[in-house]
Amino acid sequence: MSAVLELERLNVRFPLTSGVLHAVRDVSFRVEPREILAIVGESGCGKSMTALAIMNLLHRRAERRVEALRFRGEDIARLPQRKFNRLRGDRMAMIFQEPMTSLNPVYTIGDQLEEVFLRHRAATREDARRRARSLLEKVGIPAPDQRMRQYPHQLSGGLRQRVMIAMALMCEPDLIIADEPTTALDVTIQAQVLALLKRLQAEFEMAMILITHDLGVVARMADRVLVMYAGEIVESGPTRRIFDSPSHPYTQGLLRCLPQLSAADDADARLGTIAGVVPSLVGEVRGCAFANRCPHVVDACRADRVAVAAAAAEHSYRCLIPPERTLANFRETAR
Amino acid sequence: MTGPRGRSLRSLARRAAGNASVVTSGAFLIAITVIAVAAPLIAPYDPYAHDLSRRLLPPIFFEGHDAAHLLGTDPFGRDYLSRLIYGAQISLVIGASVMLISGLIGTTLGLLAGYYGGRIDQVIMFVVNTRLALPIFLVAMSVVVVFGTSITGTILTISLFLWDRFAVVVRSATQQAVSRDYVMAARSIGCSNGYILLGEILPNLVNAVIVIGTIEMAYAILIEAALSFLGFGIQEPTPSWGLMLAQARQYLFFESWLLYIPGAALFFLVLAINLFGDGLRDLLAAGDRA
Repeated sequence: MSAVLELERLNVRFPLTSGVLHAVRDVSFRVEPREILAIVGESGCGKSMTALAIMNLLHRRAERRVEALRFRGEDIARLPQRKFNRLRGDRMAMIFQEPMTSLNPVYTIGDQLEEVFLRHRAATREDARRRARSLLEKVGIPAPDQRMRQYPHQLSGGLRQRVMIAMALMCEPDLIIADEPTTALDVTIQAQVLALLKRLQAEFEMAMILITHDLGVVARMADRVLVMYAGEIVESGPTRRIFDSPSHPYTQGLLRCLPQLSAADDADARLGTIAGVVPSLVGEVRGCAFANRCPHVVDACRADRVAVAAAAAEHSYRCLIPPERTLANFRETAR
Repeated sequence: MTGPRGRSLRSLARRAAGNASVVTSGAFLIAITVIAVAAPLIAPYDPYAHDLSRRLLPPIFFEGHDAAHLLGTDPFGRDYLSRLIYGAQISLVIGASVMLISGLIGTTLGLLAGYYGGRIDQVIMFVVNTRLALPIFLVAMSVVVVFGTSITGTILTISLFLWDRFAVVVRSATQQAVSRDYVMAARSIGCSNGYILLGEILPNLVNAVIVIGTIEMAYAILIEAALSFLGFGIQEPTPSWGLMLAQARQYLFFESWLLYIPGAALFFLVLAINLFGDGLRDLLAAGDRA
């Protein structure tokens, strides 16, 4: 079966007065039907930019260059705005990080849900209302009829995020992009919303791109993972493999930062950290972007752009050092 | 469907009832509007009828008054109260028309500049700055010289001078709204730019536009009076408060009530509009906090 989304060599740049900011560099990936692909990385690594670039929502000053962007086999990279608008909200939908501000304060919940449906379907107001009501029930909102008549400020953050999810599902999209959907919610609500997303993804047979900085979320949600650092993909592979044998020192560093229950009774156990800071993305990045923070760095790392190597089928990483050497060190320090 | 508008208007009315300055100024404005609309029924005399035998009669609270003319008569013997009542029509029509026309121009330009930014913003801000550099009275004078005087001409001239505040405020409010997530969310569900501007952003700016509208209406009424006073606005024999003031000027020392009466009318009308707009701003801001 063909991929839902294929992205080839996406670059996003911002021309600034101090130089060109390379926010996303040569990012390529595929999203298969019915899979959850997680994009993980720290703030500013370009994961949200990648999502916005796919949805064509970048700031007007951003320059997007992409070799190919195919949605269900159709090239949508150079689609005129009007045609692209027919896809957005219908075949592909997005869930944003901030449920508090993603709903328009002057319209009722019902109005905003119905709007999506009426925009993309030849439906009556009555159809749209029925659809909205059934989706509110599906996302677990009690008393949907009453909620539909309320304004966003009358709902809590968790409820609003459920409304956003319902809105994204109104037209049963093939692809849903969730940009840190639970970051703004408190921990107990986070778990509920994640479980809900996973259940609905399976039920609606959608593909999902899940953007997060939380490896815990990745572990319980994703089929495959892309690890991004400083605007590029440094490692990609099936979730199990990434967690079992991370092959890029950055991924290894991220995993070391996860608290381990087994280490709790070990008095000497300390949570791992990654020393140093992310390099500036203004101007050309030479060599490996992680070189100045990497414990395994060698001179060759700083010379040229590091090519992608394959660790196994479906598992690739962007590092000069063979994973056998870095992994041994990782397994030692992580235990 | 009750709709958002219906419900928020009802709650607004409830809160307005507890606000003394809104109630007082609102009642005054309603009264003056009713008087202006019903002028032919209320005015005791024809405002254009001369009667030189009864010129310059003082109003009822002065000695030597004639009970038939409550506010006395002007230098041509026309009933001052009737002229005052008809003058309210001119002030309100000009104030309301200018508010609508300049509001439409300014809001449109502000929305476009704030939403699209870049080159469009630069061009619109250049137009705003050009407009700020134009002296209204010189331009009004040239318009009168070239096109002559008419109420329509006065309305258009003032309108072309009062849209800048709408444009600047709407522009900055739009800039703020554009960066809100709901605008990006609207784009992500496939809304066009036009829909986002009119359907998503504008409803959030209505409060600000209404408040500026009241300020500009008061301002338009004052400018009309000033233009008429100087002879560039409404012309004799049409009753305008500014024109009445201009005529009263030469009687300042002996028949000073000729000056006080239209002056007080103008003062109270503008004060009421400003108080109303001010109170409205407070009420609408309270609504935003809810």
